[in-house]
Amino acid sequence: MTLDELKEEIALNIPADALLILPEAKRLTTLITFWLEDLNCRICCFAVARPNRDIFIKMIEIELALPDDRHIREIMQREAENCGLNISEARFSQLQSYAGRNAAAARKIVKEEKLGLTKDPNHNQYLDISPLIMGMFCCLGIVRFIGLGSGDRSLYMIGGIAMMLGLALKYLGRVSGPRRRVGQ
Amino acid sequence: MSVTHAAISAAAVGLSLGTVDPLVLAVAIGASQIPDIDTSTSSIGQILWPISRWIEKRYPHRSVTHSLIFTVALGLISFGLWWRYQIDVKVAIALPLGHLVACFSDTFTKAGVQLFWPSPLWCVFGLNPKRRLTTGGTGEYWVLVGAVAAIAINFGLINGGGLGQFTAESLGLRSGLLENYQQNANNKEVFALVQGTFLADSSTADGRYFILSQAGNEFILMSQSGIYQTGLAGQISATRINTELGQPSLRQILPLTFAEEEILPKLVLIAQSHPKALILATGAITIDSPEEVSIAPKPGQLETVKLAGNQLVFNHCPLPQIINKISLQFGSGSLELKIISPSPRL
Repeated sequence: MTLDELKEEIALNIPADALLILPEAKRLTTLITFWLEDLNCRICCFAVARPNRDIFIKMIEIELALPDDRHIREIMQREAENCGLNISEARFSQLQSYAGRNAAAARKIVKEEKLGLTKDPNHNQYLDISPLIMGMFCCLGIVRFIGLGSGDRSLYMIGGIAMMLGLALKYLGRVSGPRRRVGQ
Repeated sequence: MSVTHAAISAAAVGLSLGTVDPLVLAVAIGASQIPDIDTSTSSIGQILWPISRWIEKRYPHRSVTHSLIFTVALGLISFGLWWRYQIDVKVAIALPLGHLVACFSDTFTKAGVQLFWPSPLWCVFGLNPKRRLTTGGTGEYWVLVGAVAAIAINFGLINGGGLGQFTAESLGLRSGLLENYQQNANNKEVFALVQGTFLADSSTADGRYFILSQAGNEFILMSQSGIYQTGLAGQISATRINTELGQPSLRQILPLTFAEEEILPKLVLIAQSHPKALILATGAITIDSPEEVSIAPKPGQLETVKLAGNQLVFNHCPLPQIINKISLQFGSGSLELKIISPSPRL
């Protein structure tokens, strides 16, 4: 039986109350998603991110909560056991900060630990707070006006220096180095 | 590294609160170590190991103890201590501020921190990890050097009268000099380091003068050669003046009135009772025999005594000079004596 024949057979015989569960749905090919579109049954797809195309646009999206810290720690401990690694709680605590709430990254970091590779953060749950810090420095410029009003030269200068520091950081922040490795 | 955290927090707290109070800095340094209580590999974690082991079993490094919630909790503790035991406000601020600075400084590292814990976001300064610091790396040592330099600068600024005073002195701002004089003249000798010229002959007036008093925005100065006033209405045109504090010194003002009486005895008595003091008189006395007083004005110097009709007018006139001029005069009037004790070394 060819793949097309199989698809046709399933489409003809699948009951209306059947539930199709498709893990890693992001990997489904266009041919499969078109076929799924015509199926008369319930479909549940799992994916790390929602692809904005064909059948996925029609689907209702339910975002699952990230695994909590305890869960990630358990994953790392299990992976360490599987790898035959004896890692202290202090080291787990440190490695966990590289994994964030990403279970796959947690496993990968333990494997890297086994190979003795240099660790870099492996998740992407980052928030760049450089605008916050620069904004705070600039907001200190408010004291410049308080100093101006009250005749306090120190406040006037501190406010001015902070404001200039914030602006300088803003421009320095535009200096961007290569994020990719050589050959990437 | 704990040393870097300590240096950064001490520098930031010291500079922001304008203090070098050892207690404030010690609290800031202590607070900077609190975040790393979440790992038993840190210094504080090794000291308080039951707490650090409990935390590290449950949370990732740089999560709960590096969060703003933790800073707020420390702030509440500080507020409680301030409210209940009236501890110094700067000490109370140093605790949460030291912690906050340490947490923010960790955002410059590769791993970042969970500032907004329990949110899973890791806060970093710049998204490119290659542009962030590695803990214990070369970059961190440069940060440590910078923080220590900032502490040293703060010590210098505070000892020099604060940032405002330091800038005023560096730029030679007159308002800052007047402020410095007003703040210190009552308990310290204040000297003026003058760069300028004498208006009379345009010769150089560069030198170190003792500041006798302030005249508007100008100073009345004294050197071994005489008494001068700065400004175009005076005798010295100063292009730049810096102040310098000297030995402890006490200034007091003594009013003196005369009512148709002999002037000399009162002045001699005051001079004898303050043998090591510099006494300057300002005011006017109407005397009975002005023809017996001879005044030879010193060119290029402040006219400390002048005769107007039968009235002797004094302006920062040293007491020995008055005693020499007035022998057996009777008169009435009032003088204000400025007694500077001990007499400054010129």
